[in-house]
Amino acid sequence: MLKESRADARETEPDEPEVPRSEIAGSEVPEADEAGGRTEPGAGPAADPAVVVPGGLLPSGVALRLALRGGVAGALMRCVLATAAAGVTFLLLAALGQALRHPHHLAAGAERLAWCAPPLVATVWLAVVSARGRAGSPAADALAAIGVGPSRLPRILAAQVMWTCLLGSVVAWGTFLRLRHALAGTAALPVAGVVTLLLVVPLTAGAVCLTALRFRLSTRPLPWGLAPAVAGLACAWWGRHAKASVPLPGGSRDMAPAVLAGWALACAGVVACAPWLVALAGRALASWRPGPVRLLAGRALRTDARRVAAAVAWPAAVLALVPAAFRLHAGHRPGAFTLLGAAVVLGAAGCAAVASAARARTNGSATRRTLAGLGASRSVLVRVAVVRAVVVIGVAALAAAPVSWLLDGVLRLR
Amino acid sequence: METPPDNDVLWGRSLRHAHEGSPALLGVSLGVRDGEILAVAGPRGSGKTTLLRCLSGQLVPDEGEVWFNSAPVHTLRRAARERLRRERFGWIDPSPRLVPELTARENAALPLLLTGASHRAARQAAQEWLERLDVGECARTRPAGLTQAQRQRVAIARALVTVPEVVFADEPTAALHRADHAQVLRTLTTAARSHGITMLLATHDSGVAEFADRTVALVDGRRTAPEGALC
Repeated sequence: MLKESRADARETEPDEPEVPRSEIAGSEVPEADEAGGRTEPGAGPAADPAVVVPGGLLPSGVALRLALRGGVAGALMRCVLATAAAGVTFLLLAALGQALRHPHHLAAGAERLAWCAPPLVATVWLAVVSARGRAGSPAADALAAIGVGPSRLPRILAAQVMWTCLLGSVVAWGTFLRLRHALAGTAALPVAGVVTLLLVVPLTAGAVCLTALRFRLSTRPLPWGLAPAVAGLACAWWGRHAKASVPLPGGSRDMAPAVLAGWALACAGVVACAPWLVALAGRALASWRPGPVRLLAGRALRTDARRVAAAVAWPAAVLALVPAAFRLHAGHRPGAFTLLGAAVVLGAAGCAAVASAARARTNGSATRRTLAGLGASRSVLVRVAVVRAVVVIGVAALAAAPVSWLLDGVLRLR
Repeated sequence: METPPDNDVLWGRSLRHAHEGSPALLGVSLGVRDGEILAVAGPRGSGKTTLLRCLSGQLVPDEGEVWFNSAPVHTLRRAARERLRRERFGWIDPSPRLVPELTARENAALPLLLTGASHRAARQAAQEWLERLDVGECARTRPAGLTQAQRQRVAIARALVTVPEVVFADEPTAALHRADHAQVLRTLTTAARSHGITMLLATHDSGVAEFADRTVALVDGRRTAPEGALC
């Protein structure tokens, strides 16, 4: 059966050259991954006595092997994750260097360190998304066949994330050493401090991945995110006249703590209620005597709300802050570190969105095969995908626009 | 091109097909008469599924011809073959393969919706077929909430809801317990006979052949018994 369905996917026709070729490209990627993954457990761990130890499979050994043979998409994802980790670690080391150059301005150093939090959060999110993608891959199925199941797999995937982030940290360390005099002056670097900073991203990402893969949230989205979103906006509004005492990155402007806390809460709220909004939109789409396109698109959105929301919520939250950030920095040229931080946040959010969307696509492939079996035309499938995308982008815009508008209004009042 | 006999609704001639180099069909010829139930019997890997997929237009054979109602299928473009499958053929898989996010009734109504029927008509027809197949009470349940036998019945309702001319049933009882086997097959064949639907029934179980008018045996991609040979 499997063979035959593959043969169907590869079926080519002389009179429609473009279309089957794109289908082949679509079906080739997971297959290549599958082939790589399937040969792995048989050939790799069994052949290597270092991996088969009495306690079971060593997570890091398998993680490294999987990482090396994961296919192009997987390699690209790991490159992006390593780059993001390198960016965050570099920011952390730069903050340390600043503190060493100005040992009397401890508060300023601490603030710089604290501003590394948003890029760190974005990078950890990207790590979770990449690990979740691996958890559902054919390689994971193959590992399940040799007893690496839901309890053992998270450890392997977390180890994989940790290695990737550590690679990024080492790259950041190398770059920092080259620019050492500009960043840290002539002061001696504290070894403990440097090692701690190098391990911050790998350990945080690994630990969060392990937790996120172990504990599955309920599948029914609830609107509890509305409360923090409203509270955050209220907090920002209430604090709009308070004394600005927290310096923003780049040192150009200060901001009231209440407004800052409001921003963070509103962002978290948007992210938290995104699945509920997507499910609601899906329900609305499939109501009132739907045809096949509305029915399939709406029901798929409702069922897959959590995954779809994961793809769009963070970019939406980040984009909601962009107008406000531009207003804050109007007239000031942002520094290199601010730009690096912003690039890490935007890049990680964007890549996480692409990866989540790709995963949602893989999850929908069974439905697509079923529909193709029923003789559904390609245009129906395309229309379903387009309707889904339009609704999701609309929901994201709808969720982000009020937040963005209110925050911008708060800043305009000041 | 040689034209097929007039009394055959579906006709395959010297069909050869290989999956990525592994041969599946090695020159199978077959004619299916209008309204008959034809069992294609053979062990796993004998090419039953490939034969059904070639005849239903899901696969284009490497060599050979497929004719349906005296018109060639193997030369049709993909869109035309999809349309043929949508409007004239029904397909039942060994495992139900329902769309997980739709309810049983929506799954059963899907082929009608895809052919452009109104929501109300599709819904009504789907409900009727579900009731005929004893799963009417599960209409609003999603596949995850159904038993395997119920899911397979929904898949059968989905294949019959358009009242197609030919239904291809690829081991429709493979995933069911013995108790459900006979009942599902009886329902399926009765529905086919009462609506004059031609049916191809692939099976490795000799008991299934009892429900058919005629049996064609396949082994290693070739027909073995001359029984019912038409060429």
